[in-house]
Amino acid sequence: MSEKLVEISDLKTTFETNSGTVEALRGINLTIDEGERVGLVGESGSGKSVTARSILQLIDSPGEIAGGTISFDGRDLVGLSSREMQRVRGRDITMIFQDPSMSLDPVYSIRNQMVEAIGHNRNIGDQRAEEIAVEYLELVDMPNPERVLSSYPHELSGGMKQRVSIAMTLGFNPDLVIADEPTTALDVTVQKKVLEIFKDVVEREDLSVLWITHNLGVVAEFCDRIAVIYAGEIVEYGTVYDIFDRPTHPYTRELLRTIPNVQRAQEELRVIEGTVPNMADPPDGCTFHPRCPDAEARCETTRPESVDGDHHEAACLVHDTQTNDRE
Amino acid sequence: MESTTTEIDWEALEEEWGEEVDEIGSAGSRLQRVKYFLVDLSTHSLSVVGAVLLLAVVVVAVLAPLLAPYSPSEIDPGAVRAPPSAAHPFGTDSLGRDVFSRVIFGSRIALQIAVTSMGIAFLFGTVVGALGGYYGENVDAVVRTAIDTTWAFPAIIMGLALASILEPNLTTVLIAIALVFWGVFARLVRGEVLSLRELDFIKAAEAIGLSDRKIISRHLIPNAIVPAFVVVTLQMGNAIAVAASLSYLGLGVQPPTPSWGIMLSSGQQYITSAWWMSVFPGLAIVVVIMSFNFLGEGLRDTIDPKLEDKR
Amino acid sequence: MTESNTKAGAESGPPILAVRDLKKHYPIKEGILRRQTGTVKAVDGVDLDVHRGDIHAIVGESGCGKSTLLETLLGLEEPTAGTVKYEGTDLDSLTAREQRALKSEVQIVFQNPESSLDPRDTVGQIISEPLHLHTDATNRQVDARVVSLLDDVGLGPEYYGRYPHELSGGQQQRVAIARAISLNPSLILLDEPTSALDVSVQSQILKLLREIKTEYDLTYVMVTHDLSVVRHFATDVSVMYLGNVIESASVTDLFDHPKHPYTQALISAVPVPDPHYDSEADITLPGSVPEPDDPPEGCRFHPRCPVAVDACSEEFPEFEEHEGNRVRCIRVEEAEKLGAPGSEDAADLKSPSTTRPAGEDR
Repeated sequence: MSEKLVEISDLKTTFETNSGTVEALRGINLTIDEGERVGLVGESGSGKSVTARSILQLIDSPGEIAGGTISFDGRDLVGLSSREMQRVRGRDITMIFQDPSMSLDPVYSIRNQMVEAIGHNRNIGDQRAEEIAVEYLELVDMPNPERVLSSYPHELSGGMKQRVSIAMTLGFNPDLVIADEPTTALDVTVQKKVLEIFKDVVEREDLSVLWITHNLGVVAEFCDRIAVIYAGEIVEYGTVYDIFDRPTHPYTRELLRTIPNVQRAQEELRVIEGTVPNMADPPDGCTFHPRCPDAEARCETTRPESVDGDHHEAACLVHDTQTNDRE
Repeated sequence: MESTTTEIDWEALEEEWGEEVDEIGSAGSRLQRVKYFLVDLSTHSLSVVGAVLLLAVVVVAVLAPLLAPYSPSEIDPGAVRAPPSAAHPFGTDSLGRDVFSRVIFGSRIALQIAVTSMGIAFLFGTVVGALGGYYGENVDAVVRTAIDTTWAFPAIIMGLALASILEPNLTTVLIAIALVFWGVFARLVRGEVLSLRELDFIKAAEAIGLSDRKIISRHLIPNAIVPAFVVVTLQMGNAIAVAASLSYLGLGVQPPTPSWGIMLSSGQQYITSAWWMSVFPGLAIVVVIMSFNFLGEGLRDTIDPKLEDKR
Repeated sequence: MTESNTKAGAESGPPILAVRDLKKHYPIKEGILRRQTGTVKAVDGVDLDVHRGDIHAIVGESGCGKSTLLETLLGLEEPTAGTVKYEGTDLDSLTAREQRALKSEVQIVFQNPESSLDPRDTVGQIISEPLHLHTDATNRQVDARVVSLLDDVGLGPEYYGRYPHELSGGQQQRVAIARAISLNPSLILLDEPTSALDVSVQSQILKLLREIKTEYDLTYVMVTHDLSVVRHFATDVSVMYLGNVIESASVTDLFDHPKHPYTQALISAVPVPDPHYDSEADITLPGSVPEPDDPPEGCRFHPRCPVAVDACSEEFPEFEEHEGNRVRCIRVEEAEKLGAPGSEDAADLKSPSTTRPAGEDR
């Protein structure tokens, strides 16, 4: 087993709102090993983006990390000063956004931005930074890095911009990349290309990735392990094969049955009735019980134990991965 | 082509769902919405200050004859440029008129100018801006040129020009200010309409066959007008300032009308010997402009987060 | 003109919607004189037959013209050329009044439910607007209709007084659907109806659309980029690329044996929610869709096509039948080899052809 790079334990992030305190993350545990790709899968409002921002300590008031630890490379990120955290961001942990314009400034040339950012995060001179920029642009399969460097963001297509922002992010030489749905806004044929490139680079550089998405197809193709998040809690954790072949938590099971698969004709899709809970007033007991087909009386009162985020496990009172895995 | 809409069996529908309809009542009415809005606004302390001050000014204006100890034109030859005293709390001016009473009556002129001129500017600007934004092309070109023309002249210059062509009186001032400010609203509403136009609910309205007039009046203007409300409040302060400036320059409302601008300008030459003649009307102008601005900023802050929520 | 599919065409007489050689071009104007410097050929000669009861999906990537096509079908855009016949009646031959009557027959559900509902209107006002406009019913009757429509889309009468921002995305889409069916239309255009929604909500809305379709005897024309949804939901598919339909078939034929190399690439680009799925045989296309103001000569797809030959850059082929699929491609046989997983040919063909112009984004 390889070295643990990230160990999140009992992370709680809350937001103060007019209608009271909202627990966006209700105590999550998650480990990411070195060189491992972990998918964090959830629907909007599930807390997947809050998790990413919590790791980077980018939770702004009225939100705060109310408890738990985020150990990165042996060091707890919670409670680091903003100055120390700035050094972690970019150098050790970087983020790729859904919209590449988030990381590319329209008024500067790509060269300007890449050289400056890479130089700063690696603490190296401009010339060396430019060499690295070219190197990574080639790595993401840009045919003409020099020309790309001289262009401005608006001169590039969406797919190219996303590849540039990937090249820039990876050029920082981080240990962990947090990818927040970086291919969702792209056309499918472009997404395919970007995904393949990203996967290649990550493999070659042996990077750890936390891939945040709602798209189970992307996760199946890209990730080693999956954490399914629902209403601020990780309801199931396991390898891709655990999750897709032996889903245990009813939410995971139902979710997998609601998504259409382009490769096969299907009967009527399953439907998860109801809506995600209002996080200002989550249901008692298991947060999924109002929508759960297998809910029992105890699910309404008893909260299942959190998964430890290390091996295949489901936060469910009714179903157990042990018996499930043996089947 | 036969229309299938006639197939709806209205009687049966009414029969089946009438009870539910009656239960709907007035839930979610406009009134409820206004209430929520006011609650939100009241959490913004500056705007509460602004609103309270404005309310006070309005009360003063309405009750002026009751509140003022003297008539604004009453001359006391025995007390020319008398300093503030118990009899004349704000002192008297060169003709021996009570400054306190004149400031009180001046609030009527100030509010009249602010509300009327902004009302005209707002109505005209909104309609013109909405037409330009909705129809685009040639209509918009005309609207844009008109707006740019008014923007090319600083407000004061425009007011000066108009006031010197027309006879300087209250109506002229109102027209001049409306002419200066309509472009602000036209530009704002035009921009809003342009971006609203691209939204699907306008296409949906076209798809159900709504006429242009109805799309503009039912969907575009009500949505574009909210930010314009904020601006109207902010600009009312400016309108008072312009009116005061015109009066100050002798091109606005004419003496002996108790306009704050006139009082300010006539008191100016005595600023060292009889400071009260100009300082009190000046303060009145500042207070009113400030309260409009406070309220306007409060409105903006209350409306903006909601717009952001909609992304 | 042949039928776009064999299944529905045989039984139900004239199509409910027949589109012939439809074009929508936009002039590009530049400079102060607004001189025309080019033309965006958003839709450049589309034929389409939709039969009563079909769910006809139009798929393609951004810029392929599918949204413009939809707006032209809805009458929001004037076509530059071509005809749109609705139940055999040419739209152009109608008076303004008749066109308005037609508008109650064709309705639309948009992608983003939030922007498709006026934020200042209540749910009740939104759904009742078309009813007040097109019928003489009393207020109480209209409200009864609104409540029954709400019930049909799975919302209770308590939603009548709510505002759109108080609803979830799925609920907003339900309101938009209720508005679309309020006048008993026969054809509903669906513009990416689920792509702004979460996966669990997506299946709810698709199920609702199915139920509504049966109950109200509807025909759907759906524009989308999501092939997984198409495979599961549609009956017929037309694939668009740069303003043209390049393949058209029943959903089974299209997914079981896609003929056009672009269709194949499009299908294999969709991420498969199955870790055992072997993506080795997938086709990865070089570059991205060219700008529609400067489409390539000949076959629009040839610069990115893995099986293109010189002839492809000379002429844009007409439709030909291949096992029930209508395809605009002269390399169908070669393209078929692409889809065979593990075959040596497929591996060779994965590299882009030599006809690709230099400097193309890849």
